Amino acid sequence: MADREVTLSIFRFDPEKDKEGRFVDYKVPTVEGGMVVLDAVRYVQEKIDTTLAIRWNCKAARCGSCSAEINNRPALMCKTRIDTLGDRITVAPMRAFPVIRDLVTDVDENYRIMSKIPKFTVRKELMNPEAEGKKHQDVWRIQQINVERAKEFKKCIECFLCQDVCHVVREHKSGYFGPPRHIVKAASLDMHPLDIVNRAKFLNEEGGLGYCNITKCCQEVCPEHIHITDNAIIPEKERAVDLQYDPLMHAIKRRLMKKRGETVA
Amino acid sequence: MGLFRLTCYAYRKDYHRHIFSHPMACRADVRHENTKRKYNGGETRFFRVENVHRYFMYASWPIIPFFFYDVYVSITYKGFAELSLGSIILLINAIFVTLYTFSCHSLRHVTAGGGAECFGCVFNQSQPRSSARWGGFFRFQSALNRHHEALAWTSLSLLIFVDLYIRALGVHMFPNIILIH
Repeated sequence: MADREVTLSIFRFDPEKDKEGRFVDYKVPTVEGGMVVLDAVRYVQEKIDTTLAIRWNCKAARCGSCSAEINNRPALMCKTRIDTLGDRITVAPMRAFPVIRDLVTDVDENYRIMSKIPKFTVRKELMNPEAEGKKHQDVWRIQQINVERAKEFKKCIECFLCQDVCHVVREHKSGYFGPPRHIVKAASLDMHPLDIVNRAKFLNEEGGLGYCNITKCCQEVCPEHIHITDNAIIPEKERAVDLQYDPLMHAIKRRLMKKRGETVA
Repeated sequence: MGLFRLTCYAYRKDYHRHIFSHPMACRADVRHENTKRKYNGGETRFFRVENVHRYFMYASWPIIPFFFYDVYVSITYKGFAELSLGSIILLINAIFVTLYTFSCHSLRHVTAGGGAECFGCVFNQSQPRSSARWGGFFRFQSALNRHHEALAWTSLSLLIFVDLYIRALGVHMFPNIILIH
């Protein structure tokens, strides 16, 4: 049953026809109880204008496809309820990325950056523990505390909202990898007990980790509530300090890394 | 102590947002979004100095016992034990400053084991108990660390309030209420 009508102002851009995008208003009847922005946008696509391009898949905040800027705030369309917003809702594509059409953006850049991060590199002796008279299940065992630290980052659904909200990525061409996905990915590998590569120096020098000024917008918009700044960026910054700014810690760290056979990327 | 607060991760967020406006807010319509606006380089140029936060943290540790010494003196300065409202306020202040200092992100990394790649490996794999204890400390410190920003502002406000309160007592603006004599 139609409850009230909202005006949906959707960004439209067709690269074949338009030079630049514009907002078009659509009247959409809403239904009481759990209607989300994606439902409204799909209503427009099905009933009003079938040429509207959107990217969506699971409608359960699992796939990270329907990222957009709803009322200028980066959010998942499938997780933003209509009844939490006013009668006029603007829906725009993520502005940090080039628009392909309407609400669909080209996020390929993120995967290119991701491929630059040094891969998971396991300690050599773990590959063949029988040579040292140890069992596979003993050397590959990970303690619970280590699992907990890295598990949080595995929740990432790659919606790239954090990348979109980051003012360094969005407004300044600095070469910063961006907080979101990439530092989280690197942190999850760095905190893995079986991995022997330290990525902090690489992130600081090539990833532009120093450009981040801890303003925590990425943490605010994360639909999976990952503590991006507190648990990934700040620990990575501290690791970079260990290697590059703190002579005392550098000496200790160098000894520990030598003992464990770790390398700096 | 001032430098410790200036380079603190919690205050960094506030002054980068509200003084330098990079960015002013997360919403695109609120913040002054302008690609031509020059960026101060985050923490790559002048603010690189913030990387030595942990040394300011070490410097602030010896100051903490003096807060508790103040509480002790406030109770016993008359030659006998007397608990007044001022002592309670000093005690609350000392507790908040301690919690703020020990919820620090740098402490989490350096002392609580956040910098370790692997808990069990660094602290001797043959002694799983010690690594479990260390893990427990890391969990506890992380829980405290989650409230670092709130603790930062509460302790700063308290510091100012306590200074004004003591000054007001000094000029006899109002009497120090004695609770237990």
